[in-house]
Amino acid sequence: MRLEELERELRAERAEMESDFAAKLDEWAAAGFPRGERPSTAPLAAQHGLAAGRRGMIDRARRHLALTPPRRLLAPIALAASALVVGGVAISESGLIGKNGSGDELQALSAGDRAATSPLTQNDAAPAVAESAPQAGKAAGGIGRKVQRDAQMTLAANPGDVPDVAGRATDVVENLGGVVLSSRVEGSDERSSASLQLQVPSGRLDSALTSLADLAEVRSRSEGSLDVTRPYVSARDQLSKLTAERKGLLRRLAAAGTDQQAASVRARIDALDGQIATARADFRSVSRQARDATIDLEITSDGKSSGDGFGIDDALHDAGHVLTVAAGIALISGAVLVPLAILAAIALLIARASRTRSRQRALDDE
Amino acid sequence: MQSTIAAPAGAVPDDATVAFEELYHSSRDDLYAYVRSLVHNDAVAEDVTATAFERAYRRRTSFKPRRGSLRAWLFGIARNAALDELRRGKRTTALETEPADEAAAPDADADAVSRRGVVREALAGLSTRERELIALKFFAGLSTAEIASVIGTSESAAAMRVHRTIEKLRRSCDEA
Repeated sequence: MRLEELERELRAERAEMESDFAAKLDEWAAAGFPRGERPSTAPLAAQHGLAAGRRGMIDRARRHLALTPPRRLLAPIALAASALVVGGVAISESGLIGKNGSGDELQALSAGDRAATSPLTQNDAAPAVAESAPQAGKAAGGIGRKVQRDAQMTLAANPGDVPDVAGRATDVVENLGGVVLSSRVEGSDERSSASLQLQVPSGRLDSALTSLADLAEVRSRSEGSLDVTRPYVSARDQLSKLTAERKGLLRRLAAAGTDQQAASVRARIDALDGQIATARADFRSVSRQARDATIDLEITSDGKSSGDGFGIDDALHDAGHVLTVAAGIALISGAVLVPLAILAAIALLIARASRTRSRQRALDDE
Repeated sequence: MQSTIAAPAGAVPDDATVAFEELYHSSRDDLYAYVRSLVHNDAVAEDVTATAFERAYRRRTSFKPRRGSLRAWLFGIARNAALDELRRGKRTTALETEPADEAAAPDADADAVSRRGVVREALAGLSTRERELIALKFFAGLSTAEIASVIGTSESAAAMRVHRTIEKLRRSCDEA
C-alpha cells in the first residue's frame, strides 16, 4: 500500500466528537470552565459499566486537587506548617530567652519550696529526735545536703524612688515568709541610697531574687553557697550522744545504792546538761544557716538623675533583646522546617516518578 | 460556532486566555480523536477531553514556551488524563470497549471497504504505544517535535519510532 493511501485510510479512521457533546463543551469553555458544570452526554457509570458511586466526593476532590496548580496547594500548606512551627518555637522560647533561666528558677523554686518546708520540719524535729535517741537509718546519708545560701544584689533607681523600692523589697521578702534583719535608707532628692539585710527561706531565695530584680535596674548580682552538711551532722550527732549519755546517767541515778553514788551521778548530770545546752545551740545555729538564706540588698541612685526614664540605652538594650529572641526563633524554626521541606520535596519527587511509571504501565498493559 | 472563552467579568482577557482560546478552537476535535484512540470508549473520551481542556485552562498561565509548543503541552495534559483514566478503569472494572463502526458508507465501493478493513486489522495488530504514535501523527496532526514532547523522548527517537510504526503498518496491509 502506498504511503499516501495509508495516510488517507488512517485519517478516515479518526473518531469524530458527537455534535451534542461538542456544543456543550463549547458552552462550558465559553463560560470559562466553571466548576461543577462539566458537560456529559450520559451518566458515565451506566455507559461503561463502572461501579455506582464512583463519581463521588472522593473523585470530585481528586479532580479538584488535580486541577489546582501545585504552587497553590504547597503555598498554604507550607504557610500553615511554618506558622505552627514558628508559633511553637516562640511559645517555648519565650519562657527561656531573656529571662536568665527563669524557667530553671521556676523548677528550682518548686523544688526549693518543697525543700523549704522540710528543713523547717526537720530542724524542728531534729532536737526531739536527738533527745530521744539517734534512730538507725537516720544517719548523715539519710538527711540530704544542707546548704547555706546567700546573695548580694545592687539595684539602681532614681533618687526619689529609692525609699519606695526599699519598701517594696521589704514586701517581697515578707510575702515569701522572710524577715528584714536590718535596713537603712538615707539621702536627698539628688542622691539616695538604701542598705537592707534580708532573710528568706533558702528554698525561696531564687524567687526572692527574681522579684527583687523586677523592682529596679539590676547593677550587680551574685550568689554564694556553702555546704554545711558535715557541721550539721556533726552537731546533731554530738547532741544525740550527749542526750543518750544523760539518759544513761538518769538510769544509774535511779539505781544508785548510796547517797554518795547518787551525788556523784548528779554532778555528772549537771556537767552534761551544760554540754547539752551548748550542743543544742550549735545544732540550732547550723540548722538556721541551712534553713534561711540572707540577701544583702543595696539600692543606689548613682548614675541616675531625677529625670531619668526610658532612655536611648534602654531602647537599644530592649531592641537588642528583641532581635536576639527573633534570631533564635528564626534559627530554631529553620532547623525544623528545612529538613521537613527536604523530606516533602523527596516525597513529591517519588510520587511524581511513581505516577509516571504507573501511566507508562497503563500503556503497556493495554 | 466559534465562541469566545470567558475572562473574569469586567476584565480584559489576558494573553494566556487569548492564546488558550485559539488553542481550544484549533485542537478540540484533534484532541478528542487522539483521546478516543487511547481509551476506546466515546463516553470516557468525552470525559477525558473535557478534563484535559479544563486542566489546561486552569494552568494556562504556567505554560513555559521554552518547554515546547502550546499544542504539545495540551496533548501532554490529555495524555496524562487518559492514562490516569485507564489506570482507574483497570482498578475498578475493565472498560467496555466500543466496537468500531463497521458499517460502510452507502456509496462506498468494495475496494474502499476492503482497504478500510485491512487497515483496521493492521491497526489492531499494533501495540498500544504504536497506536498512540499513529493517533498523534494522523488523528491529531502533531509534528515530530510535538510528538516527541508529548511522549517524552527526543525528536530523533520519536521520528524513528513513527517511521518504524508506519512501515510495520504498511507491511501488515501488504501481507493482508
